[in-house]
Amino acid sequence: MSMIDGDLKQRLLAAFRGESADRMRVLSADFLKLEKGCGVEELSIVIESSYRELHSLKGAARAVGLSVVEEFCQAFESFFSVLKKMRLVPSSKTCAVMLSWLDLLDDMIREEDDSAAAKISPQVQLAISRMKELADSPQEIEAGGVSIDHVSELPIGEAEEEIAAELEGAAAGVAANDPVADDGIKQDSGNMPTSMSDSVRISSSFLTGLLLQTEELISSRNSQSSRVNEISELNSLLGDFKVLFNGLQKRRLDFASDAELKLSAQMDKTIEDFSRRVEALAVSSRRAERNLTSRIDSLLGDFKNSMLLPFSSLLDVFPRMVRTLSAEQGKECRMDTSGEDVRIDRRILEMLHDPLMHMIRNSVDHGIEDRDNRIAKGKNPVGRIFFSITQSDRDVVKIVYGDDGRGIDLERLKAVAVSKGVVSAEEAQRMDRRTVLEIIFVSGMSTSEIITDISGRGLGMAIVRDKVESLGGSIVVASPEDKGLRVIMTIPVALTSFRGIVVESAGKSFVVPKSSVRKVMLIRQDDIVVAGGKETVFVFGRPLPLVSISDILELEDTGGKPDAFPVLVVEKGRKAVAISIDGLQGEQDVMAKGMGALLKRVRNVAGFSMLGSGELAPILHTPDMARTALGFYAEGRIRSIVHRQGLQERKKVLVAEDSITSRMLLKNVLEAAGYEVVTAVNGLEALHKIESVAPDVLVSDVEMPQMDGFTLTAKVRKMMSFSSLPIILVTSLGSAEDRERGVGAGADAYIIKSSFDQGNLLEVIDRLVG
Amino acid sequence: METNTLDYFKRESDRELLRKRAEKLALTISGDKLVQEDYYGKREFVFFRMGPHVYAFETAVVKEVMIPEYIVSVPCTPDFHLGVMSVRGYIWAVIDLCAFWGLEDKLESENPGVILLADGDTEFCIAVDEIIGVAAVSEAEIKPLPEGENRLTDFSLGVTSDRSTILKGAALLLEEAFVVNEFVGSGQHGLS
Repeated sequence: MSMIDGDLKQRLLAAFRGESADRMRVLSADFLKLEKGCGVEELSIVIESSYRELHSLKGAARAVGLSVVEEFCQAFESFFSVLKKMRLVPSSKTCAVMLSWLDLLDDMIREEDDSAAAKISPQVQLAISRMKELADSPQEIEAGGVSIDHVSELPIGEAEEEIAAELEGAAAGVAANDPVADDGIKQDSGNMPTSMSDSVRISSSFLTGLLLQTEELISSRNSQSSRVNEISELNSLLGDFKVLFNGLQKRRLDFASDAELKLSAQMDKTIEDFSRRVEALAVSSRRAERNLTSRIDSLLGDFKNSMLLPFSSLLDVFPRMVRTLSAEQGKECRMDTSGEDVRIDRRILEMLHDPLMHMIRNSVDHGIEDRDNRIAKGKNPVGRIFFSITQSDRDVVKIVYGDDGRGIDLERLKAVAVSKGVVSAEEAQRMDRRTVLEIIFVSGMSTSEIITDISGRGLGMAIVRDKVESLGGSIVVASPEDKGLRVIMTIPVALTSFRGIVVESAGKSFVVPKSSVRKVMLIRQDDIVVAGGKETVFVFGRPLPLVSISDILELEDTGGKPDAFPVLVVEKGRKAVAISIDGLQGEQDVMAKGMGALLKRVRNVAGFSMLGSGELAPILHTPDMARTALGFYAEGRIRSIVHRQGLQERKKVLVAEDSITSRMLLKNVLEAAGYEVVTAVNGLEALHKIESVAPDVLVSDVEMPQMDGFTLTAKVRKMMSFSSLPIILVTSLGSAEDRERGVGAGADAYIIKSSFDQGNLLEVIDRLVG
Repeated sequence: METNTLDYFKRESDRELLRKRAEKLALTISGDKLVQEDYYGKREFVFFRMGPHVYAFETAVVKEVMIPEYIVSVPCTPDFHLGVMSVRGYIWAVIDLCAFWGLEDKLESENPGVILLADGDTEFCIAVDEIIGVAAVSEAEIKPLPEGENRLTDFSLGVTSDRSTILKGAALLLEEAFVVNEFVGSGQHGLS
């Protein structure tokens, strides 16, 4: 079976589920007939039918690789062949045993464990050996006197213990699964072995295809709308024409002959008819368009609903996996779930399968300690893995995954990160818990080593994060000291239903998932602070890097920014960044489409969506964008000034100097060095000018009338938007005291006039604004 | 009855007739193979124009041809990824072969047509200036290109007498360089 995978396997399994349900139905009806007792003639028919059903079931099980089921059916079939050949009538006791075998078979079919590791449980082994035994000594079947009563009576010693353990395990499994929710899924996924049901099995890929086609109707609707508008326009044009025509007619009629009058009356009538019909057409087409819209809306709504499945349909497979995995490791582990009846898009469930499985494997392999260790730590000897699912918002589901193992060894993680060069030793020293934990998400060549070294926890967590983020969700890891691991994921309920903000940049439309945008705001030129050659804006009382979306997306820049433009504030961990866009087109429900075979993963792009206009637009990957923006910002790769008007090329220097000669000198020197220079004759004027000029650096004399350099510095420092403006004081006051005063006022540099030369000043300016 | 049939088969002319018929039927069935040969050993190709030159794909790899209303460009992808388009709700990547091969002649059309190529696993479109049509060409008519002129040579079967380049569609479908798989921070991309 391992050779068949993916779609085919799913299709085969789906077919098998249907077939086995049908066959089990026939078998149980047959067995019940046998138990009730029936005439000889009917008896042989019933036995023949059961024999055939078992034979076919065996074949079907082989086709999907369920070797355990196959083996069981094989034994069951030979048992029936004996019944058939010897025309035996099974006693009622035998019938009861047969029915219990059928229950076993039912369980095995439902588990669908096709792994090579799938072992025949002792119960099944026992049943098989009983079948063989009975087939060998058929008199027991008919007599029924011989004890074939119950499995537990027969085996002695070890086997018995094994069964007890098995039953206990099964009980735990049942306890973990709310039986009510269980029923719900079985019905949904269509493998409920009940009799006639009113549901049909449809493959999810087929359903997705239908949904996509339904969505295409939106663009048909849009072209319909534009035709309706066209008709309305024609109608009003016709109205205008009628007015003109009637005016002309009136004037003519006074001189008209009888024949002309007659003709004119005819024309009037024709135009009247024509106009009435156009009007009717306008009204009816408008109505048809509205009908179409509402039908498409409800069709799409229903379709989206049909894509929702309870979480249990995903989580159901895990408890058994946890048991098998932990048994392999010689550990004991159980899995609890809560909130598994929360419904979520089946495609999201499909995509979550691998990441969740991955985390479970990690927990069992590395998180959960072995029994002795746990007892030594005073923990429950049985490890616990749990899922808790809550619908935290209309469109958002929160999944908390955790285990009660040893958790993440932060020191070890740091050490490995340092040795792999992911962070420097100093950085590692300064990191707080949360930042350290972030390391497990680090992608790149060294990740796998890091993670395998550290108790394997987090192997491929980068991939897990990427999966979650590409679904429009987020993921956080916590590891309370020695209390295990917590992974908290928030995921949109539906690929079909997340809200997106449609933004515009470089003449193109993009969709940004609304859930990932902290704030949308309008930024005016005045809000931009240029500090150290980088642009920032104040949001939530702190300066955020301002990065243009066209820089992030590597688009052609459209040139200068207008006086005011919108920005999206997105967060990456505790860092936030403001991303400027050219325009906002609005908000709408977004349905993501896959990117096709070639575009496996594109930087900054998560998928595509159809806009309300029927036009296709890329959905942006917000976490990627934040990473890109912060990366640019940190590495200075961004074109430093793109938002401030007129500043693209030259940095602005505000010079405050009372001596005209010095002022001229400074202006010439600085302009020659490529700076734009604005001058002020004293501190007060400089202070007045600073708002409008918004310089990149302030060069000021100290001794000036009205307001001196120290006061100016102190005042500028108090201005919110210029608190980080580089200030250079140039003075003849060379004493240590004066220097201290300058630094105390908040100057960045203090240049003594006696040591003043051009090179010195230019160097300092360059260092401060470069 | 049985002997009658055998007698029938023994007749030489009929056997010949049946053999021919079997051959014919066998050829029809082989239509699902990648190579479609007609009775005279000719294969059918879809001819199209990119820039001033004419190229062709064997029909077996061509799923469809169309002129899309629009192609949406995708940021942060290589320049030969012209963009994507929606075909009945599914997203198809559109490749610009001129850019991929670094040809001097660029696509001319503002609103290019596309040829949808597909095999079992991969599917994408090639942007073209004009879709010319389908014609049958025999193996003998295709002459190999001189070696190593540019990257195009690796993907071409040869040229026909009227200077149309016959491309290996199946090889293009296997080309891994078309696949984009980049994370931010994966270090696989250069930045300006």
